[in-house]
Amino acid sequence: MDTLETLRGLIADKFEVEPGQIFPEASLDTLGLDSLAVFDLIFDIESVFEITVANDEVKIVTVADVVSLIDRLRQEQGKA
Amino acid sequence: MHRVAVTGWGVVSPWGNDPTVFQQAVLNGHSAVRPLDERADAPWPLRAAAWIDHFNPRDYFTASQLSTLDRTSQFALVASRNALQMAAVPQVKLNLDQCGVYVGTGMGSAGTLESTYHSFFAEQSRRLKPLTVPSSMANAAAAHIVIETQFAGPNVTFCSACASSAIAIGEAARKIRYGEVSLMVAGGAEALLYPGVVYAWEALRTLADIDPIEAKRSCKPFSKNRSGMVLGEGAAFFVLEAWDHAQSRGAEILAELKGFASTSDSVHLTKPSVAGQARAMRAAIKDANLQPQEIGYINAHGTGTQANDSTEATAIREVFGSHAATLPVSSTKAVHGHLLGGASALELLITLKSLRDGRVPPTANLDQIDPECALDHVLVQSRETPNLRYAMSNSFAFGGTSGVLIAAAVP
Repeated sequence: MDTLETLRGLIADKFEVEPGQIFPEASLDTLGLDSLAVFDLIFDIESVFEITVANDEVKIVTVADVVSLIDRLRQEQGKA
Repeated sequence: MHRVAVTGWGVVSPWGNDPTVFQQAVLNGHSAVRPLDERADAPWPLRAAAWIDHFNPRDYFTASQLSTLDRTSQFALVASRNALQMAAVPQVKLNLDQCGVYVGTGMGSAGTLESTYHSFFAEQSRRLKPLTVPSSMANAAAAHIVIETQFAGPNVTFCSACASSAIAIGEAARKIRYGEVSLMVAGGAEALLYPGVVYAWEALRTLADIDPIEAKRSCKPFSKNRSGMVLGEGAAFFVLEAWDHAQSRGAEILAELKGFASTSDSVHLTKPSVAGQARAMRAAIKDANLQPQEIGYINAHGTGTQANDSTEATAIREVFGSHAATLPVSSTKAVHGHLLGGASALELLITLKSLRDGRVPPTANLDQIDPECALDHVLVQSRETPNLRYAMSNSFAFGGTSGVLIAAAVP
């Protein structure tokens, strides 16, 4: 599974963001996701990527941060 | 003391969001009540309700917004937007510290809570939606309205069952009257037609039997053959302003909120009290600085339950004496159902439009006037009331809270 592509689809669908705007350096804030929306996104990420995100892992700023968090947790939790 | 002007209103109803279409349906006695078994979306008891099926949330909100918007908040936002639009508020510069929002709701965000409990108990899920708390909190609707309007004054949610929005509107008017604020958005919203909630009402033995001939005639306020209430959903909101504030910005003043009283029966959790209701009506008349004989129409609480209707009729006769014989009364719940926290607001809208149009709506389905409910009922058809100046809207809640509003026509 291509993490960035899957994440891009998830953000684009859920928050109606143009897929082209969702590049690694983009901050979630500039994509219009406030702190509550990030919690909502993480909920879906946990389902789609079959991982569990701990409360202290949710300090993410950019799309790239989310991608590396997903990849790391998939590795650690044996889903990669 | 400031006079309180109504400068805008908005509604979300089974007949759509146009207040004129809404009022016409109520005047014509068109019932939105249908049997719940028309809906295949859930297990429903064999009862009727008045639900809204034209409302597509995506017409008003983005997918992202909807993740925190319970149906009650959606109704409240749409109705308040329409009220502000009608009052032409978006076009003026306001002192936002002087503007506030008061909302009444009975069960708050019933749908979000019910689906959450369904996930937890029925589906055994231990992963609940992360925004369950902010979207289901009882004050969510008010919070969304202030965020959208940027109003920075008071923001309070009133929860007093069937009187919630009467209290919200009345207290908002007082805030203006005492000069603490210059503009308030006030109203009520309710979306409680979820199977768990409806079955809970069913258990209380308060819901009307479905009329065997015409389901839409199931709710029969003040009629001898009444068998209970019918639940509904929707919202109505108003823009209230200090009179001089409205005048100075050139707003059209649609009506005046003249009086308000809130009292408590202090007797029983659900059983209404003649003394309590009479006390509330008297206090509202005094607050409006009127005499009982000056009231020219009452939009009754009139739920259609045995206990409510005879109690309310007795209280009206007690307060108005001989004037009650020629004082038109109607309950419009027969056609729009009981919206609990949204009911008073919806019925105030009907009352204000009746004042403006000089025509009051009938109590639909009132075929056999119960002698215990003897009043000057508006029967079958709407009644022309060309000299109508002052009208009263009654709300009497479980818990014993009464909320009575009095409005005046603007010449």
